[in-house]
Formats: sequence, C-alpha cells, structure tokens
Amino acid sequence: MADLQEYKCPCCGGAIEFNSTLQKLKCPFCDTEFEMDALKSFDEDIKDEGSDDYTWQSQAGEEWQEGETNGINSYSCKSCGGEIITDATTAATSCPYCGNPVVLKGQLSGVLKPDFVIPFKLDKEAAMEKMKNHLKGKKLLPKSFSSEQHIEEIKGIYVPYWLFDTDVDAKLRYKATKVTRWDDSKFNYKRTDYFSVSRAGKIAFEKVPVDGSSKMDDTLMESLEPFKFKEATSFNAAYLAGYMADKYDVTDVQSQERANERVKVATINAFTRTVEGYDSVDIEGTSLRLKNATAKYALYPVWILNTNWNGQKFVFAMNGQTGKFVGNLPCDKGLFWKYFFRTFAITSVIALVAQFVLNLVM
Amino acid sequence: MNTILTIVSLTGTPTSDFDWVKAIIIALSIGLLAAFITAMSLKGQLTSVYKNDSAADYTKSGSFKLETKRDTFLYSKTEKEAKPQSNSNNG
Repeated sequence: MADLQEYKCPCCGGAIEFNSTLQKLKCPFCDTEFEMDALKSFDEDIKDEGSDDYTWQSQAGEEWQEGETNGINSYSCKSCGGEIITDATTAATSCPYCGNPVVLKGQLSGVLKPDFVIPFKLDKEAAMEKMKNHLKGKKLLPKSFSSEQHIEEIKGIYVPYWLFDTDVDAKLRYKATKVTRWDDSKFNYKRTDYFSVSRAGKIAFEKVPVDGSSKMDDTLMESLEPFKFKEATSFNAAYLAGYMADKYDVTDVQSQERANERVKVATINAFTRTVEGYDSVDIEGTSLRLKNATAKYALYPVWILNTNWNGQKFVFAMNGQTGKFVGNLPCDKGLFWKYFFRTFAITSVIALVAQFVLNLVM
Repeated sequence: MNTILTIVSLTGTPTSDFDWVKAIIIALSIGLLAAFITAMSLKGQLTSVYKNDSAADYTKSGSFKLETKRDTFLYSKTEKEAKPQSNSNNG
C-alpha cells in the first residue's frame, strides 16, 4: 500500500493545510503558521521513492473480473484508520471519515513528480464571491437561477498540466490582392492586383499548457487561461495539503497534438499580421518546424463549483491564481424573445420614421 | 397631420412620393437585424467557456524574428461595368 502524507502540526497534532492568503502552511486548530521550507524534509523521501506495486488479493469465493480493479486504489487514513478509496489518478484528497487532508506520495514520486506548481492564491470565499459576480448583469439569466441554484460541491483541485516549450522555424506563403476602383461618365472600373507574398522567420513559445487529466473538461480548463507561470515554484507536496490533486492520465505524447495546434495557430497569426496593405490575404502554404521542443509537468490551481438548478447540473471553474471565473449559464427563452421583439419593434419604428423624415428633407 | 403639412409646405416636397411599402420592408429588415444582433449579444453573455485555439499568450517575449519578407506582384485584372443611363424626364 502506498504511503500517505499528512502534514501534522508540530504544536497540536492537527492536520495543517496550505493557506492561499498567507502563502504558508497554517494549522486551522491552533493558528500556528509554518514556512514552506520548514516542511522540506517531508519531501526528501519522496525524491527517492520508486514506483508502487499494488497487488490485489481477491476475496474468498469471489474473483475480480479482468479490468475491474483497474483504476481503484485503497489507502488507510493515518489519523482515524478509515479506508480511503480513490481512483488511479488521485494524488491528494481528504479522508471521508475524519476530513484530514492527505497527500498520496506514491502518486507524485519518481517519474510522476511534478516539475512545478502554482500555489493557490485565492481561497474558497473568493470563489463564492466570484460566483455571485458571475451571475450579475446577465439579462437573459432565468430569475430563479440566482436564488434557487444549489452549490452541491466546491473543491480546490490542482490540475495536472503539460507545459510545452518550443522554438518554431516558420515559412508561409500567401496570395494577396489590392483593389482599386474608379469611374467615368459611362463605366465603373475595378482593377485587382494579385501578389504572391512570402514570410519566414522564427518565434518561440514557453509553457504552453495542455490539460493532462481526462477527468477535467479541456475546454473548461482552456477558458481559465492564462496562468502566470512566473509565479510557479518548484514542486513541494506541502502546497497540496488541504486541496485535492490528480496526477496526469493523459501523457505528454498524447497532449502534443493539442500543443501543436495552438502553436500553429499562434505562429500563423503572428506572421500574417506582417502582411499589411492588402484588401484580401489568403494562406496558400505553411511549413512549421519545431525545435528544442520540451514538456514539463506542473500542477495548476483550479476551483471547481458543481451546482444544480431545475434538474440540470452546471459546472463553474475559477482560476485559483488569477481569479478568472468561467461557466456557461442557462438562457431564459421567454426573456430572449421578449428582448428580441422589443428591439425589433422599437428599431423598426425608428427606421420607418427616419426614412420618412429623410424623404421630406431630400 | 398639421405638422406633416407644415413640413411639406416648407420643403415643397409632396408625401405622395414616399414609397410606404418599400420603407416598411426596409424598416422591418433593419428591425430584424438589430433585434437579432441584440438578442444574440445578450445570449452571448451567458457563455464564457471557449476553446483557446492560440498559444499567443505564451509567446516568448522578443522571440519573433521576421527573416524573409517578400511581396511579388503577379498580374492585374481590370473589370468594367456600364453605368445605368437615366432617361430624361418629360413634363
């Protein structure tokens, strides 16, 4: 069985957590604060750990079917002895019996150890406040959503990301046109000049993030960007205390395709901006070569809020570093059509009156 | 009505020239377009989850170097369209 890491307060023995406001570990029981360096020794044994070996024993008279035990891990809580069942990717969680936060060292050791982590900067209260602001000013939001929606779950999760650095050598070809118009007494003229345009050069990207967890919706995670990598630090498992964390289950190789797509779009846009002075520009060919491409593994902070309204589930997310809050909201169809027909009626009347007045004065 | 007659008498423009049918069609079209844009814009406020297809936020500062910039003229094509000739008005 893999070892659990619980960060116990040296003063009172309570389970300490990472406090995003103080950027330190703090005991919620005796309010003692600890610098991150003070718990460095906890990480020393993580570095030397090898991979775990889970050998399952089937129950007497009952055999696990092939594949049934895949993806399930079992641990014993050091505080209360309760059994903690997690899926294969969980790296930090809390005991469902006593609530103590635990870090599953085996999930973050050896080749699984993250290179970087951006610690949480914003706490649960900030997430709740952002949620309230997110609902304000939305004219088509059903009136009952704000009052009736129930937050079923709010959790701070360190989401695994692959961060890609790469240099790009780019060559692009375009077809561009310039249009000139003039007229005389008898004809309207239009001359179109056609150009072949070439651009080539270099550009580099650093820490392009791609979500490494299949459990987290990729579009939701991309909506939370950008993350400021400048505030990332070397990984220290103590940052995870009090939060949930997953290890990656989408490898860097699997994530490369998405990184390539994003790098390609950014490169094309950067070079196309240098094609100026034309009325139309169409790309005819591109050649992008990546050099010095590397991938690093990091944990980025995200608050996830699961709510329920009118029998529907809604997921909201907040960037735990910058506070950017996203989440799609339902649309009240009645309000939609009300605004539609109101605008239609007012604008039509104004347009009719304007035409009449113009006809009079001209 | 009196206001309209006053405006007509000042401008000398008879209202019988005003094509009401055409004007109503144009007004309804503008109204429809404005309503569509407004309603879709309000609906757009409810959506905040989007794919981020570009890595532009992660461009390394100062790394962009344009090494080749070549614009070559290929050819021209000129089109002409005859202007509609207006008939002179008879009294």
